[in-house]
Parts: sequence; structure tokens; C-alpha cells
Amino acid sequence: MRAVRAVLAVALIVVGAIILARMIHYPIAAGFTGIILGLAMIGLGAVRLRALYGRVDRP
Amino acid sequence: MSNARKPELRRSVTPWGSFSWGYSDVGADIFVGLGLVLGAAAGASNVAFLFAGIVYVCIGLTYTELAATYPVAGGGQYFVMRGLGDFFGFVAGWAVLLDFTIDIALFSWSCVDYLSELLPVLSAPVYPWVHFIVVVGLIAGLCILNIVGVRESTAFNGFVSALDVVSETAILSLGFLFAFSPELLVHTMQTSWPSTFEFMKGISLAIVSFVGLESISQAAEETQRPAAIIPRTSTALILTILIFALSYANLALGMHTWHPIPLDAHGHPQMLWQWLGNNDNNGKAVALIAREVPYWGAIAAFYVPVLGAILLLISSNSGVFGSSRIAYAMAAGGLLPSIFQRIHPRFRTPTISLLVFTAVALSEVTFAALPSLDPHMASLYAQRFNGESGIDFLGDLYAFGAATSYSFVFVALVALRLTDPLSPRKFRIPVNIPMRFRGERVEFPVIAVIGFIGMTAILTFTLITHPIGRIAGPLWIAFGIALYFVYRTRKGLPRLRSRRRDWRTEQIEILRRAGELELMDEYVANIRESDARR
Repeated sequence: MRAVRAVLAVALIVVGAIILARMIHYPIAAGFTGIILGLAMIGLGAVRLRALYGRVDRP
Repeated sequence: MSNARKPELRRSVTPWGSFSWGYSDVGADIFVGLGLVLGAAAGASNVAFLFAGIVYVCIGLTYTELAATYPVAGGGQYFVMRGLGDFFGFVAGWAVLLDFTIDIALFSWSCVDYLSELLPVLSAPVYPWVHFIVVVGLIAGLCILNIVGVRESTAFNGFVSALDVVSETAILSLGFLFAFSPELLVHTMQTSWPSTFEFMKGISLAIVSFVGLESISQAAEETQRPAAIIPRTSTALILTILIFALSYANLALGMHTWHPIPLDAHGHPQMLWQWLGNNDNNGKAVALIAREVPYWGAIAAFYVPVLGAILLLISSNSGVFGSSRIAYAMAAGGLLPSIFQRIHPRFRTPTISLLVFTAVALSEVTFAALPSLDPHMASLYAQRFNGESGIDFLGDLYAFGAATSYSFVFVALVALRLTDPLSPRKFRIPVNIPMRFRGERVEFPVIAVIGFIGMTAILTFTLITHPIGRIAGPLWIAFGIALYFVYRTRKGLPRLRSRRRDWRTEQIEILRRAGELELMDEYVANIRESDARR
């Protein structure tokens, strides 16, 4: 289960990076929302990875 | 002081439980917000969501820090009371109460809208009386269930939340994969960019999609090891909701539909966002967009309306539950008359609070439904309120209540950073300016100031662009302040000043009850060190 979650988190980071790379070429408003969307996906993937493997307090 | 301990809530909410508790409330918002924003902000809907989303990230981080530092069930009202005193605590709590009553009305309304996708007899434009009666019945039913003390379980919330996350991920992934065209998105944004007024209206409505973070802090008192768990679940929740909102907005503007879009009322062809944002469809936009995703839409057309309706019903129920509990907490804190604390002898629920705030929600639904029920009222609304629809009116007030209470929460964070530097903060918002205040080292939160400016802008947009919201919202606050002054005067309590409280003892008790014993020891050590310095 842990491995599946890790794969999903990595997939989220990859999709976020693709969106980021693709939307960066578009005009300012569309590109900017795409960039934030990509960054949010990368951020969520990183948060999930940190929760899985990082040093966090567990209840 | 009595040795008898107050009854405590059982700490049984796990990390996933904490996430799903918040998700079942905030996650439902996009089901309502998407159509409203598309109707107002047109080709700039994604930018409207982005503006509101950035402010939402700021408020989300603020709630995360405060809920992890003060894990009590009061939420925003408690943080503001503690940071800014009784009066502002009351105003923030009263604004949250407005939001909870709108929550009941708006989400029940939208729940029936989603069901109308499968049962056309519930369609508001075609059968307004049936729609109205079913919404009223739903609200009354939720009130009765809450009086009797039946609540949806955390396990049920978790199941629905998981189902919804998977479903929305599928809709968005397949939509972007098979139907999205970045060129169409750019074209729509260039050709359908709204006027400044419409854009401001869109931003003020976009905040509707991000309301409900109160739930995580409401659940803090029942969460295991809240200081460690809340930052994890809250950050994941903030990002998940932001991703869904931005994705839906971009998809709606740049998607080629699977089926031809019906012509508009004048027989002209229309774009997807126009169809989703019109008065007939803006209450069920997510179900319609799901239906237009190639291949998956065939299945989604059946289950998304049901899933949306369930999520919206849970959110509506959290309004019934939350309003009564906030009123109870405010009465316990001396901010509202003690009648709101009265417990039913048999069911042990705050019956008066439940009945009062359900009645407020019913009156809001009636006001929202009047134009569709009576043609005379429709012409009156068209004259006085620019012809706002019922769901628009509820959205207006929702945005007003959220912007008001969130503005106070930002200020409360700044105040608490300055006046309570000794409380250990397991999660601290990034970007701070170190400084000294009253002999203590404190960190001034820059993000809270940015968030406050953004939220004040949204509040200003709400007042400028919503003809009903700018009257009804401030009237609600003014009525509450009058009630507060009368109550405080009759009880001989200070009106503008606060009652004396021993926050240090209370904080130790809060951390002890939370099971955060290490933090409690750290707090006691901080106090001793500070006292020794003085």
C-alpha cells in the first residue's frame, strides 16, 4: 500500500511538471494559471512523499 | 476552582478522518462555485479562481497554524476572540454563523439541482414549487436528524470523500487527455474576457469554492495528536482543493464537448462555459462537465449527480451541525445569550440553536426562491437587484460571510504571534520577519498580511458587485452587534472590552487534553524562562 501511495505521489509530481513545462509557453493569464496548477500538483506530491518517507511525528 | 473535569470530546479522528472531514465540506464547494464563477467571470474564470485560490492558500495556512497551536473546537471565532478580544470574536463568530446558515440553504438547494439531472421533476426552472418544497423538506429533515442526535459517521465521510477524489481525478484526467485544447483555452480567454465589474464579481464568487476550512479546526478537538496531524492533512487538503478548482476552470474554458451544446434561449450557439454558467445550469455545472468527457461521460452522467448530491447534503448537514455548535461555544464564552446553550433533556443536543439557525436558513431559501415562485417578485428583483437568481443571492451572502470572518482570522494570527509568542508552534507559516515585541522575540507573519490584503479586496469586490449581498450581509452583522450589546449590557459585562481570562492556564489545559504533553512541557518551560527574564 505504501509503495502504491508513493507511486501515485511521484505520478502527481510528473504530471505537475508536464503541465508546468507545457503551459509556460502560453500567453500570460493562461500560462500563469497552468504554472500554478503544475506547482500545486508538484507541491501535493512532495507533501505526500514527505508524509510517507519524511521525519514526521506519528500519532 | 472545582476539581470536576469538563466533559471532553473523544480523540478518535485519524489523519485520513481529519482530511475527509475537511474534504466533505470544502470539496463540495466546487460543485456550487464552478457554475457561479463561469456565469460571472466568463473567459477569466480560471484567473478568478487563481486569485481566490492564492488568498485561500494564505487563509488555509493561517488556519493550519492556529488549529495546530490551539486545537479546540471553536475554530475561527475562538482564534479571533483570543487574539482580538470578545467583541471582534463575536463579529467573526457571527459572520461564521451567517456562512453556516447559507451553507445549509445553498448546499441543500444545489443538492436538489444535482438530483434534477436524474429526476427532471426537481428542476428549479421548470418546476420551481417542487424544487422549493424538496429543499425545505431536506433542511427540515436535517434539522430533525440533528435534534435527535444522528450524524453521519467519520467512516461514511471518509468513504464519500475517497470516492469523490477518485471520481474527480478521473473526470479531470480523462477530460484533459481526450477533450482539452490549450489553444481553445487561450482563444476563449482572449475572446470572452469579461469587464472589470464582472471579473470582480467572479473573484468574489470564486471564494465560495474554498469555504469550509473551519471544519478542520472544528475537528481539531477530536483529532489524535492535532499539532502533528493537522499540518499534514490541512496542507494536503488545501492543495487538493486548489488543484481541482484550477483544473475544472481551465477544463471548462478549453474543452471540446462530447455532445453538441444546446442552443441558448435566443436560439444562438453557445460555448461550454456559457452553457454551464447560465441560470438553469449553474447549480449543477460539475455534473454537466462530467457528462461531456468523452467515453467516461456515459458512466459519469449517472453517478456524478448522485455523488455530488451526497457530498452537498453532507456539507449542508455540517452547516446545521456547525451553526448550532458555534452558537453553543459563543454562548459558553459569554458572547451570546445562554439560551443557545440549552440542551434537550432527552437527546442532549442544543435544540434551540438548531431550530433558530435552521429557521434562518429556511428564510434565506424562501428569499432566494421568491423570484422563481412569483412573477411579481421576479420583476421586483429585476428592478432592485439586477435580476439576481436565487443561487446567486445565496452565493453573495456566502462570499460576504467568508470574507468577513477570514479577514478577522488573518488579523488574529498577527495579534497572537505578537501577544502569545510563548505557545509552541509545531507548524509556522513561512516567510516571517523576526522582531522584538514587549521584551519577547516574535516573528511577524508576512503571508497573513498578504492574505489580509487579498481578502479585503475580495470583501470590497463583494460589496461593490452584489446588490443583495451588500445590503443583507452588513445588516446581518449590524443586527448581531445590536444583539451583542443588549445581551452584554443586561448581563453587566463589558461591551467593547473583554472579560478577564487566564489564557496561560487555558493553554496548558488545551495541550493536556490534546495529548500534546511535550508541547505542554515546552510551553511551561517557555513561561518560566520568560518570567525569570522579567
